[in-house]
Amino acid sequence: MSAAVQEPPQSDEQQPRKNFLNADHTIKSWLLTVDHKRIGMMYLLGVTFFFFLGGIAAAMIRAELTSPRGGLMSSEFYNKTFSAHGILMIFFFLIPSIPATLGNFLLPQMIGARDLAFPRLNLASWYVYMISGIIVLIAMLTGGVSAGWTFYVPLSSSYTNDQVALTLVGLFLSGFSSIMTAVNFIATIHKMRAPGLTWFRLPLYVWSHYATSIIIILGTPVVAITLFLVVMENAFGFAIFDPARGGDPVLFQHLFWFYSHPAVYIMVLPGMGVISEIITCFSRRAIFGYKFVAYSSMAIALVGFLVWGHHMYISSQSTYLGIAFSLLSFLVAIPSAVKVFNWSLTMYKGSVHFSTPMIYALAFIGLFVIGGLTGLFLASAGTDIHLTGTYFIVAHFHYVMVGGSIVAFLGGIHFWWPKMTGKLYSEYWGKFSAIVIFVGFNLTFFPQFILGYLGMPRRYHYYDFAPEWQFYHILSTAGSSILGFGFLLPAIYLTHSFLKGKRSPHNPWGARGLEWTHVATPPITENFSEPVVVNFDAYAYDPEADAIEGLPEEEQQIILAGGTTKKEELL
Amino acid sequence: MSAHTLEKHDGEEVYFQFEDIDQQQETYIVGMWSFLVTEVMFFGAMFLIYTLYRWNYHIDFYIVHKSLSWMWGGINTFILLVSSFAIAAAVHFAMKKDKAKQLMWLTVTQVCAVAFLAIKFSIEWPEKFSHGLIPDGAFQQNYTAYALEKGYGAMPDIARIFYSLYFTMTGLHALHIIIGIGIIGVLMYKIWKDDKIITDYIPTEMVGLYWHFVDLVWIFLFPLFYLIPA
Amino acid sequence: MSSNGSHSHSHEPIPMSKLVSNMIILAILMVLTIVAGMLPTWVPSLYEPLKNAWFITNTVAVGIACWKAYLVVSVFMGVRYSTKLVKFYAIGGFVWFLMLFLILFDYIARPQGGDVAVGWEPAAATALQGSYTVKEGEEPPVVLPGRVRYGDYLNPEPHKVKHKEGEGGH
Repeated sequence: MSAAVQEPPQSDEQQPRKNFLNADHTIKSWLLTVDHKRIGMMYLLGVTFFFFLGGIAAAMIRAELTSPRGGLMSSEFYNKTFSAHGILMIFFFLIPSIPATLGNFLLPQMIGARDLAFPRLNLASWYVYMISGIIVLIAMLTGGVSAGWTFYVPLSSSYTNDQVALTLVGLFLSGFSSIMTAVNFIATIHKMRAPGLTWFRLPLYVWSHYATSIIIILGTPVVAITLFLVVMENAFGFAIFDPARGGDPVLFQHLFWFYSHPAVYIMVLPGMGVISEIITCFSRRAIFGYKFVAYSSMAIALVGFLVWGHHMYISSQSTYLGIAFSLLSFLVAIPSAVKVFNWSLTMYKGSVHFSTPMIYALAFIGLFVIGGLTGLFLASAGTDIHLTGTYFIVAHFHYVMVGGSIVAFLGGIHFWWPKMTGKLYSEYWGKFSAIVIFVGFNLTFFPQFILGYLGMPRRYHYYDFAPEWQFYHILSTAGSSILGFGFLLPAIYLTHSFLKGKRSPHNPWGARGLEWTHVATPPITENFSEPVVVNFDAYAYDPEADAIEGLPEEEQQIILAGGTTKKEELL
Repeated sequence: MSAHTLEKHDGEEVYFQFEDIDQQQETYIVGMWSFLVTEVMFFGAMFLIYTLYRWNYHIDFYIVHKSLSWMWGGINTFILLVSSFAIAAAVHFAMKKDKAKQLMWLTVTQVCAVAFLAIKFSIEWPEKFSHGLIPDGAFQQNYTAYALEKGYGAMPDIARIFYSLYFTMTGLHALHIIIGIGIIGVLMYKIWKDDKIITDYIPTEMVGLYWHFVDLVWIFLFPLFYLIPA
Repeated sequence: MSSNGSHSHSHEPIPMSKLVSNMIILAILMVLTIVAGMLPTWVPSLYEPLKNAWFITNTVAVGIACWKAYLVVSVFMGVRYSTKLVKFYAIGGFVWFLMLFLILFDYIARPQGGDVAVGWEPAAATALQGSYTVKEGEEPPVVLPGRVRYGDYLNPEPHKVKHKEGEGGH
């Protein structure tokens, strides 16, 4: 261990001849790899696969809803379609999306480690994830699930004749996959930080992954055992939750939401970490209020565990408890708002560059604010009674999940794509697809707020009792076509970039994270050629120095001496 | 990957991703404890369900629990306590690098674990099976017959809940014991063979932590199922 | 690359005497919990004055279990001799386990009997038949789904098990 800060190992133009991608070319070397970067890439393929399957289900739902009579599908098939959409998107895309791909890839690089703490456990988690996904796909092909992704009993136990049990076995296993990743992250973040890298020098991305891992280890086992008990009810006739056998179905809802509400923070917290990195880099400023953002991640993780009851206002949950949950749900809005304010203030007086990742980050802020504020309508027990179970709720959680998680995921993929592959993508197509996604997304989901307010129930595939809603449904379906097109574009141009793209310089964004300054692009297998010592804070950006960077040296001198040039007035 | 292998650092063998043996040991212990937290929550949810139903149906639970033998439960508790002590002793001798005694105490743990399962699977469960007290479709009928035979009985639906919880919780616990037997077996084999993955006492300590947790679950299961007050 | 370079994890084995004494205490506690649990059955007269104080026996059983758990965690698992971080995770796990029990507040707080907001009364048992009318001075039968109290449905000797009315789920 040397005591001084290492200079970046490569100059701007060079790429290492031997990196993690070309270290070995055999299929076996990928399937048996314990390199966190390769496992992250394999996860990327996995989540993309499940994302497009879930997307097909979404397209089928939207197609069905263009007509008030819902003539394309039978009711049962429609139930199976939206259940498939929910299960694939939540358990196989949103939950592993950022932590398991970008998190796996970047966490050791950001904290100055050669790998995660338990590389073989990491590989095992990918296999468990893929196997559980295949089990769920088999279940869908051999009968499907019509109970929805929430699996409320007794709908999923006594009144089911499809593949609920097999699906639940798959989800049970996928829970273990996230637990493995979380245990790995926790041990890594606690014990593998480079010398000098104290907690408050960590990038906020690491903080948000730490908070996510805490939620996973505390919440996932609860839902795993709950789903396991439903399997026992289904397969062996055990009596736990079934009211016909003396059980309490509301208890299932309590246990399910004890995990599944924190699970939305599993989906969105890593996204917030990505946004913190992108905003600082493209505003060329240190994050405003570092400690507030870091603590707000932890606050979301902990308070998020105390609000599960706001999903259950219209179950037979006590109204007194409902009041408490309503209050606590409002409280969660505070740390979320802290983050949004701090991102906005980071941009203030920064030198903002509208590159592709930044457009995604700005889209995230806008959409997350709408999603969060409409969440307050639902958190308040009074309005929730009118709005729950309608398209208002559908729109709300799509604003948070798609507008939050997926947009952040895409932003992160674009931001770290040169790091992951060593290739550049077309900035033109990147910006174009980001804008298409933003427009398509709003066109899809904003009409659903109106529909929900008017009373369109979710999970219905016809509405011939109110055919005037068709206008909004058609708007929404049109938007979803644009959105689908927008999602297809990155898949195409990123693949093209991977195969034939221009080689990326060492640090194309001029970012200041350890993963950019001290790790080669693309990284070598052991990330750091020499151990690194950190004696600087995260986000060491200087907007003024960066703003004058491209100017001729004489002008720079004038500005630094306090004089004015034409360029400086823009600062 | 050739890079991901044991390397010599500071005279001790540590894995590629670690800097020194201290860091490796501490990381493994932290990882194990965060895993144990998930296990606590895993069984915690079951204990919550149990608490709710027992609170709700206390009298029926009392009546049903009389069909469980406190004596066999007590013997099993003692066996698990001994096994827990034995593996703590094994860790003690692993730290002292006394391989023979370490293996001896691990063997004691294994014997206790097998004895526990033997009592569970050859005495306790078959007794329930012989009366058809499995919470399946035929439970109501079987339980009615059983209750008439004994002269006392609870509401069959509640008895079914009780047995569902009993079989799930003790079954999951038994599954943990079976997994533990497998892990301890592998550990003993590797120690015996002086395998290179056994770098120090940490593997034994991690298996020990797991095993103590299994004991911990039983410490709560025993009074909750076998000793319900009237 | 350990960020806290100190040797915080103990390499010293836990003394054998500690392990043995811990084992003995655990065995004694185990006998104690059996005796406390079975005494009402063995010597009913002893418990006659306490027969309605069910919570005492429950508290004793769970209390002893918690004590045993503490001994196993602190000595056998070595948390007492570990780093602060391990202590944090060990305690945190059990605290969160208790947080799960917040779910029970729902069942305590659910309205019971006459304590119901207007318009939210549970349906009367015969409401579905539509023939039930509440007489003056008489409370309608209350059905709370999932919380139905069963009587001595199958007990041939009801006197053996006392089943109090209006126990309210406890």
